[in-house]
Amino acid sequence: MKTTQNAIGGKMREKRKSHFIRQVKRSKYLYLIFFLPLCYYILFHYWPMYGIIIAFKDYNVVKGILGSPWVGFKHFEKFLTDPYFWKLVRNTLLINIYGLFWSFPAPIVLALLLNELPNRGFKKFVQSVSYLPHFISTVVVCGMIVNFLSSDGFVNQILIALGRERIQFLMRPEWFRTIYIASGIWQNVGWGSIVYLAALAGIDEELYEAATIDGANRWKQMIHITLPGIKPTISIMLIMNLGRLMSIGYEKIILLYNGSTYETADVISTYVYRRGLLGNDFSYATAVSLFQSVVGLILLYTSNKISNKLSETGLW
Amino acid sequence: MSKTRKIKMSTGYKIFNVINHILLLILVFVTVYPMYYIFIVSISNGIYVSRGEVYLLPKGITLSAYKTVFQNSDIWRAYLNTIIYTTVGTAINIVLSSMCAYPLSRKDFYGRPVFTFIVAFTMFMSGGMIPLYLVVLKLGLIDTIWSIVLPPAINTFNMIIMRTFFQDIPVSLQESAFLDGANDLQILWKIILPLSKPIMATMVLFYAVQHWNSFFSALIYLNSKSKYPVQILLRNIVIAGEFADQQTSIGNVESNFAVVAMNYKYAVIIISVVPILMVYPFLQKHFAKGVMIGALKG
Amino acid sequence: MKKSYAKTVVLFLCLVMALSLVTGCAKPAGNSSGADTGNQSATAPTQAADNTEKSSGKISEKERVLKVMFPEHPNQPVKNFAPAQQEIFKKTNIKLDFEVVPSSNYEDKKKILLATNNLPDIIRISKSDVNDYGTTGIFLPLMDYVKNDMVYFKEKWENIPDLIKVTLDGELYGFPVIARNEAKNGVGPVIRVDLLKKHNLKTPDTFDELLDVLAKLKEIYPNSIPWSMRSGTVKNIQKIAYMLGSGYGDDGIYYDYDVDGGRYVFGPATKEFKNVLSYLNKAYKMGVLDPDYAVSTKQQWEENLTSGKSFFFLDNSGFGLNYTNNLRKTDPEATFQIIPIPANQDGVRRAVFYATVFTGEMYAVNAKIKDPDTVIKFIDWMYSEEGSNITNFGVEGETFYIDENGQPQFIADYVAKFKDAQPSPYYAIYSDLGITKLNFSLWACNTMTQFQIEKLTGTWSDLYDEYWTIVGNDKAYVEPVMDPPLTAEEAERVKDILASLNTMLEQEYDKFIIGVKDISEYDAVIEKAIEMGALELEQIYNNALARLQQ
Repeated sequence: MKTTQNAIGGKMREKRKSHFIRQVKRSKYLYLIFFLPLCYYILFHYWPMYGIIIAFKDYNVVKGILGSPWVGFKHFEKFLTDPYFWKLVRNTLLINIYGLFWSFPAPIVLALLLNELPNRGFKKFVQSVSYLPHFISTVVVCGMIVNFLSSDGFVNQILIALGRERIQFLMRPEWFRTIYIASGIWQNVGWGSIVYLAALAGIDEELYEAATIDGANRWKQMIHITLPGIKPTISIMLIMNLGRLMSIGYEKIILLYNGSTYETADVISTYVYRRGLLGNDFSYATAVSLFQSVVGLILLYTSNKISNKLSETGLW
Repeated sequence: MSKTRKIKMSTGYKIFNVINHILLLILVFVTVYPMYYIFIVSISNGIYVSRGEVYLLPKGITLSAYKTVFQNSDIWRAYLNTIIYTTVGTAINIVLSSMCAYPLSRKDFYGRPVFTFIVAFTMFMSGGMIPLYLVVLKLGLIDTIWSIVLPPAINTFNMIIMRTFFQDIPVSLQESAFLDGANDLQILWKIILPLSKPIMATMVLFYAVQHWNSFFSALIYLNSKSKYPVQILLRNIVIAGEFADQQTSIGNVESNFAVVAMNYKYAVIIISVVPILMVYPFLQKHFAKGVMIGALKG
Repeated sequence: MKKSYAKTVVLFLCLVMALSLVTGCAKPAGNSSGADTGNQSATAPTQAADNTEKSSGKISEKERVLKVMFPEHPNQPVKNFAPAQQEIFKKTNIKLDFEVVPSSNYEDKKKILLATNNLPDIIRISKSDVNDYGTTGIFLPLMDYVKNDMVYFKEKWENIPDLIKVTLDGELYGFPVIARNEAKNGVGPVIRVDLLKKHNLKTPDTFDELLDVLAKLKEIYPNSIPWSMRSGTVKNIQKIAYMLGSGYGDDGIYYDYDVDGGRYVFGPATKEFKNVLSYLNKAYKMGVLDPDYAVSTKQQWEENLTSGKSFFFLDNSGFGLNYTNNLRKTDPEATFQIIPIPANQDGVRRAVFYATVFTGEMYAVNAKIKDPDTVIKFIDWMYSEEGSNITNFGVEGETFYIDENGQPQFIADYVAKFKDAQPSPYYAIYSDLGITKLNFSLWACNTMTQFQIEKLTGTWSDLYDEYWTIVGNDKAYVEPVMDPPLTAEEAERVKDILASLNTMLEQEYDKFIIGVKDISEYDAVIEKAIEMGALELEQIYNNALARLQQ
């Protein structure tokens, strides 16, 4: 990383006096390469973004997005003043924070464990089966979870064999997050580790050889070579995850929660869903997602700043 | 990889190694079993399944569920559609993502922070489904393959992972190429891409799986059944009666909805998952270490 | 330095954006040529149809393609231009082009098309879409056509006064699918009658006796779960509440014939509702009710019933016949059969039929079509005897004949071909011909065709006759009441109230059923519900009903 900067920095110094046009000229091939992707972003991301204004309007189909009447912050007021809303924010944040604590490191650990396997065949085998659950649709996964945790399901049978009492996991609010996060790890740990494995594959083998000659053991190699090698990837993934603290998909939660677990399970997206995403209230739904986006952006911006300060890696 | 790392096995390391194997074996079991379960249910007789008797081995083995699925004449065409969408889509993804990631990985790219922000911003802000639909409609892409492959042409998340990888490629290589008179295009083509096999393999996998599994864009942008990808047909079978408990007003219709049996559903899952699972082994070799080193030295 | 840097970047960006917009728009224009020609070919016949010079005596003078969108259920795949549609084309010159959407995601697709005003010629909608979109003008207003141009539909409209409820502010925006000769059934109690006989138990005549009988069965089979449920607490409350003297419609609000001569009531905010919760609580405490009642999936529920683990359910009573068939594969004696509705704690027997005339589905016509007269004429024909026979029985002489009573009957030879078809002979036939309720039919059959086919293929049994006799003779059932249309403001208010009200209430039900809270504490919940607008809801609905009756 450092060398990168030095080298390019040197180049920069050379051309310090250069004018804007010369700068552009110098990067002209880069602009050429970047042109198509930029078009893509403008067409499919920035152009539709004007749709956000329906958060401040009462959307009417025939009048269209631009022609609908303005209502200002009506929709924002509606959910920000809803006393239940803050509970939803809390639940959303808690699920995501616990998720960050448990689900985020899991694929990294898996990648490192795989990396330490001396046996190539076994490594390949574990790698190729660990991502299987990723391909099972949420509906089916949730069906399995419910089966597993039912009062005479697998888990409760173990509890009884151990002389414990049955637990009705899915009706206890205190269990919801654990179930949600654990099943999420199960579903995605293998898949998530692929990114880190790719990053591990990019580490210069010579570093390990040199370390071995210096007498560093495996543990030290991991601390001093492997981890720093995948640190940029970890930082980037972390920053992006932080940006998503306020949002959570509703499909899985809807399949797993019920009235008795609302206390911990009801999140912003599920409430909006129940309140009538299906009831055509596009303006309301857009207002809520705009709120989530803004919070997400602030979080992203802050964490990126911090990361830039601490480790010189960041999104931008 | 470890062939190059011959070191004395300390006792501590041996213990770790055993624990590591055990841990990973547990993981293997936990992740394989559900898939295995889905498979044995799909080839078991529906009666035993509905009575909850199928756990470890298939019971009353029959392929009738598969026969029923494949009797549906739409399925083959849908398969073909999916393969087309996946290949075309992934190709576009890889080309555009690397074209986006490479300039952003270069610290001397003039305007880089701004462009990065423009790109990253889209991860958190979107106009929503309706404006995007209107754009696709205005561009005249509705009911064409382009409505499936163009809107998701770059996944920003994936692109940023790619950029991070590019950033880690030693700059000295590019510097020397510059001195040899190569331009950025040539560098991307001749130096960066050959060195990026692991990340490209990852990206192909990520994008291909994304296309393979995607059904929502096909659902909203396509109108003709003849253009539907296989996921749309299959999802309809798997979801029916599970997610939305549609209490249709006419009782008997719902009572017979129950006929969509478990083994049928699970056969459908197997059918939809197996082809894409087979992609992985082909890509796996690129995850091996040393690919880059070889390239560097060569 | 820094400032100018920023400025130049911005300037440059603008330039690039402008450039790319131009090229961006130019690029896909080429791609879209295919789509454009597609549109042209679709609109060409429209123009041709306008030009009425020669008369062929058919509804449309020239071939007219009508795009129709509706959901496709996996049991009945939809073919384009199946025999029924060919027959329609022969008779009317209207060529139906089906845009089918998987039923699992039909709502999503429909909402997008509605919200972007990008409809096919005819689209399946539900009553709530009329409330949400009727006033926007995307649907063709139909009332004038009904009054002046329609014959067959007008007759039905006048004979079924309840249909007025699908209107909005006096205007009709969609043609209701009307059921033809539908057998009536509903949610009812279904029990293993073979076990009752075997253990000398009396058929329960009251809800209390029901619990006693189930408790005895639990004694005999300690590992059983006598009463299984599916799909969550609220769905089950909906099913049982009316029988126990309260009620719970889709969102809690329901029409009660017995309160003040009939009015809307928000069930969970009434004293009567306590009976529902305490009854379920009793069942739970006795060990009769499935301890997982709140989370059981449909799959688990079916497993319990078809493996002999559960003996009773209170749900769509038609399920019993299927489960009996499954059970008998291992236990030839096993029989699920419906019992007459037991008396509740007040000695009253009551239950609600499923809707059997208007089933909730409608077809709206795109307001943008150029030849509404032709389309309306065609739709009217779909309500005729001829149209209905084709869309429910296929081709006369090939797949059905008209019997001496003037009723269509399937031809046995044709049906015999599907004897072993999957998932069932009648679905295979429906799919093959492109007929009935799950296809595009406006006066649609469901049980009528199914019964005929089952009798012809031999899947019919005495059990079925017994079932329909019991339901038919039970005086406890009443007709369901269709909700009146609400105004936009009312609908908005209802949505606001219900969101927070039901979120609050749904957290309470299980506490009372499991017994975490004593039923006496429910009074506080009622108070809170009223505070949150439960009575206002009742008022809105009752006002809407009164307005309609004027």
